[in-house]
Amino acid sequence: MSDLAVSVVEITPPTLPPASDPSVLRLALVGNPNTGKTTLFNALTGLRQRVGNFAGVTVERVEGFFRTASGTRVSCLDLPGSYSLSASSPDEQIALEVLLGRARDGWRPDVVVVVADSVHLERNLYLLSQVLEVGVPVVLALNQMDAAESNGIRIDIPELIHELGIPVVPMVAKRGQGLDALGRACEMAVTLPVPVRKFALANVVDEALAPIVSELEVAGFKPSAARLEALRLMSVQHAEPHLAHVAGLDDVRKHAANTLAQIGLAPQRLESDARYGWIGEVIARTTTTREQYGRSISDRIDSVTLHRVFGPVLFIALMAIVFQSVFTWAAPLQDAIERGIAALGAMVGSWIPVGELRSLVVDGIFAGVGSVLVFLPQICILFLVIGVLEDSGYMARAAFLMDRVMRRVGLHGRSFIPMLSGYACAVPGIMATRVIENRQDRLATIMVVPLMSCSARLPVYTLLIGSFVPVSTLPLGFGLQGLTLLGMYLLGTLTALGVAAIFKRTLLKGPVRPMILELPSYRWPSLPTLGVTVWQRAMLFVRRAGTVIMALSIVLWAMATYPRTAPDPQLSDVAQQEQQLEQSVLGRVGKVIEPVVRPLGYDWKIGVSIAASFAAREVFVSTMGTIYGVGGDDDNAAALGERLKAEVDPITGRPVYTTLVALGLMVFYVYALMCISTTAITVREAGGGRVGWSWAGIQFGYSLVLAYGAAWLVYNVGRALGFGG
Amino acid sequence: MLGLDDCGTDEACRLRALGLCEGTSVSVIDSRHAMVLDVRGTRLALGSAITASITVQPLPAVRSARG
Repeated sequence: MSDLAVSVVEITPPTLPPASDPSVLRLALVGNPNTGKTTLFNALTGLRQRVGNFAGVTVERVEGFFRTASGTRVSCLDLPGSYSLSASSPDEQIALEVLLGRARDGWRPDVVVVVADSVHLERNLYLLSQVLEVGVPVVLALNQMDAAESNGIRIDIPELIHELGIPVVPMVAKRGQGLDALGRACEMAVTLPVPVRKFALANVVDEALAPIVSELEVAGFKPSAARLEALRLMSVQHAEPHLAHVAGLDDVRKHAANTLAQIGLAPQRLESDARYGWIGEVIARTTTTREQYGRSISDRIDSVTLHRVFGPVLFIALMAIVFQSVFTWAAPLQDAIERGIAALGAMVGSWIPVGELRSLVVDGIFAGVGSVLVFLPQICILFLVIGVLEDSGYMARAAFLMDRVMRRVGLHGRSFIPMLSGYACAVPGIMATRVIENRQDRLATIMVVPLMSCSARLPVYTLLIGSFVPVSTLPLGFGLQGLTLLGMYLLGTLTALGVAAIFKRTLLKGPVRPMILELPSYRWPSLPTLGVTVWQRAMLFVRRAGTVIMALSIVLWAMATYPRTAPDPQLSDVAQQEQQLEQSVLGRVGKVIEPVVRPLGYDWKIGVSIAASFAAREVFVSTMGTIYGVGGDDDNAAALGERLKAEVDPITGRPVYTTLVALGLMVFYVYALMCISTTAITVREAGGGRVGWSWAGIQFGYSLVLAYGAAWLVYNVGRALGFGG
Repeated sequence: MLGLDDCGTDEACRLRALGLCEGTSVSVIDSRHAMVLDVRGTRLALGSAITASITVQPLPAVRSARG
């Protein structure tokens, strides 16, 4: 394997072998964050991954499939990264349940692979020492060996194998090195005796913990796992869900803790002292580090990135680049896609005789699908750029810098990345809030992520700015159009911070958890791994959006076309179209909506386009396109813009759309939550069921109120100030 | 050298899992109101709420191996 072997075998989820199929080796993948676990997982499974959810919880379940060099089929479950086995967040609870063989869907691991960062082996061994006691065969994958070598760290692998009693595989996952050896090690591990705790606790401690151990064994835990849990529970304050069924556990635990405290052993320190004591010895016997004088490269970079002044400056510069890249780099790709789809649509259309079917296919389906695919470049680029920042290690520094700002509004530094992702699409942004452990902070972030102007708003902004904002240049080379765009984005961002502050002071009151953040060493991001991630996210987006939007486009097309009325030959072509439109279902709905949107300065056509775009914002542009008959062969925003500018109110004779109306409309779109996917994901991430729906309802409600109010303000205050309207 | 004030919260538990226990040797890389520590080779950034309950005492001059 010279280069990274990403096997592009299937894009769609493969057929699953049944959960109890004995010919499939079940592998659970665990490890600290930042160990390259995901890289390893992707290297092993390529695109043969199936992403879903663990039953009953909002934790993502990622399962992949591969074959070892000797042909064994392996089902690999990528468990969330954590520093230790615990149950303090849903992610960690699930990991613990799976490892203990108590997963609700019955998936039990045959072997556990612990992925460790060779550069930080000592800390990584903490998790390993816990996993060793779970009662399942274990393999240690020593990843990032290349970084260890360049840092002058030498690890005596045979000695380490001897100390740990399990197979140890040195690897450089991002280069595909060690993958075969890992497969062999797993096959071998299941034939070895199950590993056990490698250190002994003092007799008094064993005696004190014995009652807990027996309670757990009675409840069905293996002896080794029972001892693991007993020791772990000494530092735990609250009841853990996966142990809820163990009768009398709380009493026994408290009693043991008291006993220990009485003999002068602080129970909370017990586990970490015991484990790190053992780990220290193992490290001493197996690792040698070349003494480093002066600071490492990472530290030197950090002296700039975390610098009092340069830090924030660099940060803003990088954010500006992220922002810019999404628009400038994506533009040529987007044009190409737009033209491609239009050409394809025209070609297909020419095969179908003029009539209903052709109209449906060209104006309905192609126009609808096209408006979705046009976003792909932007989304991919944004995910790519964010991925680079994250993999290189910079994101942690950014979160650290943002922490101070975030804290003022009651949010976490960790809220920064989800919010940044919201610029591409709120859906992955909301999913990214999983890294925030505290429920209040997490919900507050989920509530405001949609306010970060996602890429779906871009066509609306582009259409309106392009048509109604003059192309004047201001000093310093800034253009008025560009500034307006920036203004919309800033508006969303600042409002998001404000709304979060309000939530944290009212519904989601609570102190902000203190920040503990690991700043990983800087490293070169692995482009193939990034590629896989970006591809997966892109496909998810296309699939979700494509189905909703395509369905909507068809429905809207139908609503705009039926019922058909006999055209009045006395009217011009354009006027005939108008008449047809007004008689159609769409038109009638629009008339009903009109009184609601009049105060904002809109007519029924905008009204109905807004209504339609509540499912997905992009639909605004395509609906307007349908209404103004600018669809199908002649699908381009400039033409639509011209039509809009030319639109004249039949009663007053004045233009319907002015710059002020356009601005107000844009502000409406900054705030309004118009995305079925976002609502769906909020329901899930907020806890599902009634709770999830309530929060999604609050999210939708406040955005709507904000949108209507702000648009009203812009339009009417603008009118009052004489800006015309 | 480290003295850890409070013993009962989730954070203290996390810190211990990361190797930050009483008596651990750390190198302080950066200390404004937030702290960046080097603990057993790991760079940790700690928010001010936590750093308030951590006391760091200087060790007698020893050349520490950066790992």
